[in-house]
Amino acid sequence: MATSSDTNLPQSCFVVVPAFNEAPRIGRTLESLLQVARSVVVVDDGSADNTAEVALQYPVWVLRHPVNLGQGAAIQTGITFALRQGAEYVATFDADGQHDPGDLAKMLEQLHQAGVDYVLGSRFLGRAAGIPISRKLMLKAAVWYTRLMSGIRVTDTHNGIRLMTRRGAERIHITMNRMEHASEILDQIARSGLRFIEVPVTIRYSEASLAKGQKTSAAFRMGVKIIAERVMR
Amino acid sequence: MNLFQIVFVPLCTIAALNNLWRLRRGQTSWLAGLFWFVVWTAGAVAIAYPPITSLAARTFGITRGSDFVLYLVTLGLLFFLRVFYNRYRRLENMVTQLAREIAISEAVEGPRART
Repeated sequence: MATSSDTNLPQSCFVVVPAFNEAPRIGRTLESLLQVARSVVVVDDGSADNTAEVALQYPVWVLRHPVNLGQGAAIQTGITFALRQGAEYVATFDADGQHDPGDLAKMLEQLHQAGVDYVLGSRFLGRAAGIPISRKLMLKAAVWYTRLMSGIRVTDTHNGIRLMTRRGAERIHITMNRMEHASEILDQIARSGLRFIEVPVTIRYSEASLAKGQKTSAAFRMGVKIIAERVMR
Repeated sequence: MNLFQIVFVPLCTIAALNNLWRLRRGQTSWLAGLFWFVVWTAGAVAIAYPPITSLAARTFGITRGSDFVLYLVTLGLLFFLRVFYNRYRRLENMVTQLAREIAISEAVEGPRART
């Protein structure tokens, strides 16, 4: 269990962990996350398994969506909650254990050094251990797609590890509930006029994370939804 | 009269009359009743006497009546698609907001949680 002596993030840094049917993995993720974070918010997105019960065994906040809404909705719920709790910094962190919690401390340090409001993790600047070639190509295509649609130049568009200041978090209003939120966040960052940097992070792919990750057909649907949102609104 | 006209002119006429019947019984609003009565009647007339669409088309500078009908239908569908997409998104946002507030109001702390 984490103690104040071995934590690297201040209590005012809230780490939002969206989780859907993550009961087999969430415990291990929280154990490693609590080595560096003191304020963790798990948002159970209407899981059919006992994700929330497992998370409640740890010193974290647990919020439960009554129905499954999507990762974007879960992240926004966590951000809203963290801001209401007085968070000075808000981070997002996937529940499947593919991120390295140590990256969060480095991201906070770089946020201060660079004087920016958003620090985005990039697996392509860092390390993506075990990434399949099809996933790599899909993510590279997403980078170009985002560059075209949002005009924002990043090297990794769908990375779940991010850190933002309170000011930055207040400018984020995710309305696209499912996986499109990653593009929407970048879009809002671009429009916020606030500064961001990308930093190298490590992603470890496992069979479980790959099974839960985005398929090519899902990525295509996501692209269509993003276009529809822009054309129809 | 060809087969298409034999089938669809009565169908459109029945739809128009049914709409009037629903209007009379108060099962639809005046605006919706009038709109659908005009649509079904125009459909029946256009199918029964196709040259009338060309007549209408020429007043808008379009040569072929079928092109005129196609443009009208396409524009109408796009309009309604946009209306319903926005209505769907508003509804989705309302449900999300409701679920979010429930989740936040029922937030639970695990053992020794500190904020």
